[in-house]
Amino acid sequence: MADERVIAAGVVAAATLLAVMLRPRGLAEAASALLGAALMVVAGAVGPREAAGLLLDAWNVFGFFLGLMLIAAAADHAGVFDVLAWQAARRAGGSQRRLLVNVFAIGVVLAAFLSNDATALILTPVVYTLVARLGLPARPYAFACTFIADTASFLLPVSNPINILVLQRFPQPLGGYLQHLLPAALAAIAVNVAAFLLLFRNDLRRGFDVAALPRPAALDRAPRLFRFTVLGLVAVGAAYLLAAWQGWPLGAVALAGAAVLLGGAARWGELAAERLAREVSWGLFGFLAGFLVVVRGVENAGLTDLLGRSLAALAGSDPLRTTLAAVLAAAVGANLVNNLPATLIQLAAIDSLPADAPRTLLAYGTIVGADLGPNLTTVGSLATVLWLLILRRRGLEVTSGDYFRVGLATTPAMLLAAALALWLTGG
Amino acid sequence: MRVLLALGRGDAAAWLADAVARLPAATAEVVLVHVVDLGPRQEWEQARERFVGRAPLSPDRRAALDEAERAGGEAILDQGVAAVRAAGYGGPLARQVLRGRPERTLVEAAGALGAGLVVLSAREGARPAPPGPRSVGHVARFVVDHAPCPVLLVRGSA
Repeated sequence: MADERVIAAGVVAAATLLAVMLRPRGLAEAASALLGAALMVVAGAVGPREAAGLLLDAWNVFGFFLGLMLIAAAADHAGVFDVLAWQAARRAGGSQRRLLVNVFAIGVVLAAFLSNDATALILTPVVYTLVARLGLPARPYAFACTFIADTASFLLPVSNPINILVLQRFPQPLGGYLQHLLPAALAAIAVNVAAFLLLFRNDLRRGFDVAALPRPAALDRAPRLFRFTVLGLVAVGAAYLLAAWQGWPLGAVALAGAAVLLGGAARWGELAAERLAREVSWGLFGFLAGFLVVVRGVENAGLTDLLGRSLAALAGSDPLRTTLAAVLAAAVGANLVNNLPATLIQLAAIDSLPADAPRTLLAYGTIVGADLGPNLTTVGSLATVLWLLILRRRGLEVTSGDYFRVGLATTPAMLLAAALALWLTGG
Repeated sequence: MRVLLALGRGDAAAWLADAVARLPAATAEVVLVHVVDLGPRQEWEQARERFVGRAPLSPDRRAALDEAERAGGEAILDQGVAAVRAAGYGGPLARQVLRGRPERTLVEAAGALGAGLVVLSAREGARPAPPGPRSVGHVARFVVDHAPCPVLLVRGSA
């Protein structure tokens, strides 16, 4: 590629990442990414056909995103989250420590099968409402939901869309995935739970009484839909595992599952299309589409080869060092801007390495770092932190940054535990 | 005189109530106040920023959360009222659930109510902290520093 095109690709990519970080004039992240993609094509770094092909090839990821959000929304409307939270409180025997552990347990299961986004965005307000009603401190529980959403998000390939992106480029059998990442995820979860019990021990001392807790309305409003949705979710979970085992596209499974669950909602007259459409994060599609093209432009310009060489130098030949390098690079990237572009860039860098490079281990390390990394600055990436600083300059009240402190206190230990587990399982 | 009795989560309500019951008979009215701390909720809303294209919290979820916070606050005040009565105070009582930052909201409420005295725990929690710099929490410290009237700090007991 001609030098000026290489420069143009680099400038467009840098400008896109910067725009996502700074959100000039409140420009949405998706708009920045799409604008970057258009500029990449105009600059000639990606051909129009190539860009179109790239997006068509990613149908599985897009379908998975959409199916996932619809399934989570259907479960939310049917009251599944409310009933789970209610049961967590009822089965805690008045002990806050047990309630926190129960919330973690729900979070692990939901993140594993419904993804980190659904867990963080839907479970958190439900649990928050529950503990507010009980007059308990909200922080430990709200933080538990947002943290476990990421911590448990590499248990299964479907637990985080990032995993699908990685597996799309470096396909792995389900058995291999579980052998390497299940122990790593369990190690991170154990560290997460233990750290929270320790950090919030003072908040968790007092007992509570569940008598004040009202029965979830959904159980009486639409009991049949609730039972149908629970059975449907179990079926979707089983179908995910089967599909991952057989190598079927997970996007198709997610969309089919969503169709079944929404069909049930329609059958019992509970389908609210407008509300449903509001709860889908449409911007994510533009964001992903834009960055697929932007990163391809960077790749075509040969710039990811440079990153690949840096990564290879950092990774060395020792498996432990390789694991740590991949985890760390992905975690840093995820915290600089966002884990989605960071993952795409790191995947391109890994792909540029010679055939004898430990690609599988690097790919697994990328999953761990990109999934777990966002917990460091849970208020988002550095991008969001910058954004919050701008808000503060404009005089808006910004809270104390407790998320940040808890993230700094717990995430390095979680990253290390997961990386060591990954290394031990045959890196 | 109007007395503002601030009740936090898990405060030793019996000790606070006992302090109120010991006040001289000139006490005209005790106003029990619980402030719902909006800090954690704001922080969580900011944590949502990370999810690109996230939908805003739906109106019914928001309403359920507001209602739960109100009901949780009322339950705390119910316990406070029972404790004050049990301690032997027979005078008039009023109650308010407020929302905001607890320390600032309490100071503002003391001004708005024209309170002659604010009674609150030295530190949130049922157990008193050991003597030393941590025995007074940040809410109590701010109220002591900024309240427009005298402040009575009560050190709870397990």
